[in-house]
Amino acid sequence: MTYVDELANEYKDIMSKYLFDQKQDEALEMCHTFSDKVIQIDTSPEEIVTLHMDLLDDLRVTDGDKIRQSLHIVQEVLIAFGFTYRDYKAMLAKIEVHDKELDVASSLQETMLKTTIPVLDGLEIGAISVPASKVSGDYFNIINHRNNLLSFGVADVIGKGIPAAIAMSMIKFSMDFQGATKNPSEGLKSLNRVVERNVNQNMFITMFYGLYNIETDTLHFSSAGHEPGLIYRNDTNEFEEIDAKGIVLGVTDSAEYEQRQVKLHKDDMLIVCTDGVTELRKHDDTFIDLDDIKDMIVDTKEHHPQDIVQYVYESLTRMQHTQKKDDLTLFILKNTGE
Amino acid sequence: MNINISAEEKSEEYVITMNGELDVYTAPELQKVLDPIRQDGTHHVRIDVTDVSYMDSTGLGIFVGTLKDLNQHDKELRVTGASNRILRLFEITGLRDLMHINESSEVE
Repeated sequence: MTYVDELANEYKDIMSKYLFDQKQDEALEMCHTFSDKVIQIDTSPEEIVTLHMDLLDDLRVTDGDKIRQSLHIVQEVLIAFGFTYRDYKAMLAKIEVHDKELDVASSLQETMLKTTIPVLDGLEIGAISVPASKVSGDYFNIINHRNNLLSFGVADVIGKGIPAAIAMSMIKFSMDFQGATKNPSEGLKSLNRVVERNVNQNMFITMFYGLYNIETDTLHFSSAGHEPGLIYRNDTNEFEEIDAKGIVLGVTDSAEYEQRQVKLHKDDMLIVCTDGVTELRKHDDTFIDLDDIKDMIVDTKEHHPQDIVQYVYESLTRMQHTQKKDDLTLFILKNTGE
Repeated sequence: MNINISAEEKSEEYVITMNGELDVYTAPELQKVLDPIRQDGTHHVRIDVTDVSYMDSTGLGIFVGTLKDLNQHDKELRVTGASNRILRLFEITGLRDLMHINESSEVE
């Protein structure tokens, strides 16, 4: 006997008790557990009515009074459906509010937080940032200081929605205001103090902060617990990992950030990404191999960095587990000058 | 993917054991278990991640929040059984220096 048959029998039992055995109270009590069970298996109210009509035939109930009495049972069973429907409506209302919040956060990201990639002599930049859902936790910002100095940041905000968008505005405005007057280490230090005071307990930010001097081809960088960057050396065709010590933003107010520097020679590239790239899950649930990403970059190294990031992104999208997506950001800076 | 979480009170510390993947989908379950312990602040917390096959940054966020709450009560957060992959996550983020990760000494 299937579960549905069992439930039909249970209903028949309730009907018999109510109509023929004079056990109305017991029958009405049984209606409550019965409705819980049918709601659990997503039965619709019309299916209950159909079952009721079938049982009236089955039990040969033809008397008008009896039929009227039997309607009390349907009524009792459908009360629970009414509660469920009201819960459902309340949930829909909540989702609508939540969706509106996400829309605000999303449009904030698309307007205020949008970065334009500068066009410069001797330096080419490519960047792509694709959210897994409506609102991204990833963020990048590039500022051209017009005195051969360029600062940039790649960040991953852990925690979503409006708090994440607010955290990103903190990053943007503090970078905009500090400009080139502050080194990456000082920039992260003051940013950490702002973030630490403001974010939710579980929230934190990882960030790679760079200041590039186009005249000296030197990158000064600091990291707040971000994935190490990569330098592609064109003359040896090899990658170097670059990292600087520093804790994620928003955890402790007394954090210090190491600052390091590295020179880029002609056609060398700096690659910075978020963990959506390095921790990408493939269709078979295994992780992406960093060497695969390096190969993609080497294969397209003659192209403009914007084409490289686009190519890598498209290749990664094809490999990616559709249910386990994360925000994905890739930033490449190429020294094209002598 | 599911996660099984259990919490056991051992004199001065709560020991949390988990089995499964700790990510954006399962992190709220760990949060639910830790919330009352974090608010009370009467115990140290040890989270055993021996049977955690994968952890993402949202999972790490729970550790960060727990650490901040516990520190306000002068309590410690320890993490044991971290695999190399999970250890790398704590190392890159610099959190290894703030939390006691894979240290053998017991707080009894």
